[in-house]
Amino acid sequence: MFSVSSKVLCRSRLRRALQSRSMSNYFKLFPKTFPSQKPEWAVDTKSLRKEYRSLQAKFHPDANISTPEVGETSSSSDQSSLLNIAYDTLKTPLLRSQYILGSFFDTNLQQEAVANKFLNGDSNILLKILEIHENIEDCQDAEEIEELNNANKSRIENVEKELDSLYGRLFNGQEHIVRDTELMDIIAKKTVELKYWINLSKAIKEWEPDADNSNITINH
Amino acid sequence: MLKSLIVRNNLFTITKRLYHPNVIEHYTNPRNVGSLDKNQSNVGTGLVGAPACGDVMKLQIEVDDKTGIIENVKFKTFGCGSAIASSSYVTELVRGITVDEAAKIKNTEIAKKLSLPPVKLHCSMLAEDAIKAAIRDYKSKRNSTNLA
Repeated sequence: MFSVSSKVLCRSRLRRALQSRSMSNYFKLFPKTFPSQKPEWAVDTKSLRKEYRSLQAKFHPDANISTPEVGETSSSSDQSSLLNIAYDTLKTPLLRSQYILGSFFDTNLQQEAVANKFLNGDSNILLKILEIHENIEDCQDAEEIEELNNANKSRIENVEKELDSLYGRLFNGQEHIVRDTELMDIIAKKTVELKYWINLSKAIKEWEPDADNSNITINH
Repeated sequence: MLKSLIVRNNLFTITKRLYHPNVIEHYTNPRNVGSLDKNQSNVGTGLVGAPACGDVMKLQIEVDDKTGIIENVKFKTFGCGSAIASSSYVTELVRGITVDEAAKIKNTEIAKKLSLPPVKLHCSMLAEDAIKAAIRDYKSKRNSTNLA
């Protein structure tokens, strides 16, 4: 009935902890994929994955078992988990947007007070979100949930497309980074919205048919 | 229930964060879940969100127009355990008291009862916002019917 997002919570906390340790430019960790070493929106995911794997082969603690000096193991495992987080962040649109806004534009959407500024006054969107959550809750069969899932997927795609064009305008052309407050506000609002749709897709994944009226047949 | 990873002295230590029994009690057995008819003139609806978490909370009160006493209260929260427990607890707090008394409820009272850790304090604030929004909605409905 309700969804608990504890896993997400601790990951984000770890991420914050690592950010605060001033290893904050994830783009610099992947110099082949991001030669400019500056924040970018468009990501060549293939290249990023390749670079991530080759770096991970270097830094993974299992690959560093050869009599390390004191302190070295921990730094290599730190490096390895930092790579994991950086990779995860840069390849995932929601996390990437949150990261760019937080680390380069002073807009930490993981703080409720900050995120609220961008949602402020928009009760329509909350109403819509509540309604979809209720539809998921009331959902009776797998076909129905599939419909809800498809509708939500297209919401996510749409917002991601909007972010593509908004970030395109933000990073476009001239030397980074022109400060356009209005544009930033729209990007932040879209990112807040995306977070809600992503949460909805988690709720959809966790949906299970009611035991009472499930008509699932198991074929062995 | 909730494992958290904390980076400390270059070492990863895994600590287990346990919810307070009061949170678990309200989470597993939430009080007053449901909806009231939002079109009724004596029902106030508060809809608030915690956008950083992606949570949404709806809280509704049904008020006796003569006495101002909250006679019925329902909530629906889609969010984490602490947000559900906070809203469940606040419904228990406000039932049977007047809207003016209910407006004085502070998030600290909720947080204390549920022993919420600092990272979860915003859940209790969300519950406070929700009851305040519901009261505001009820009062604005009342004013508009009085004027009409």
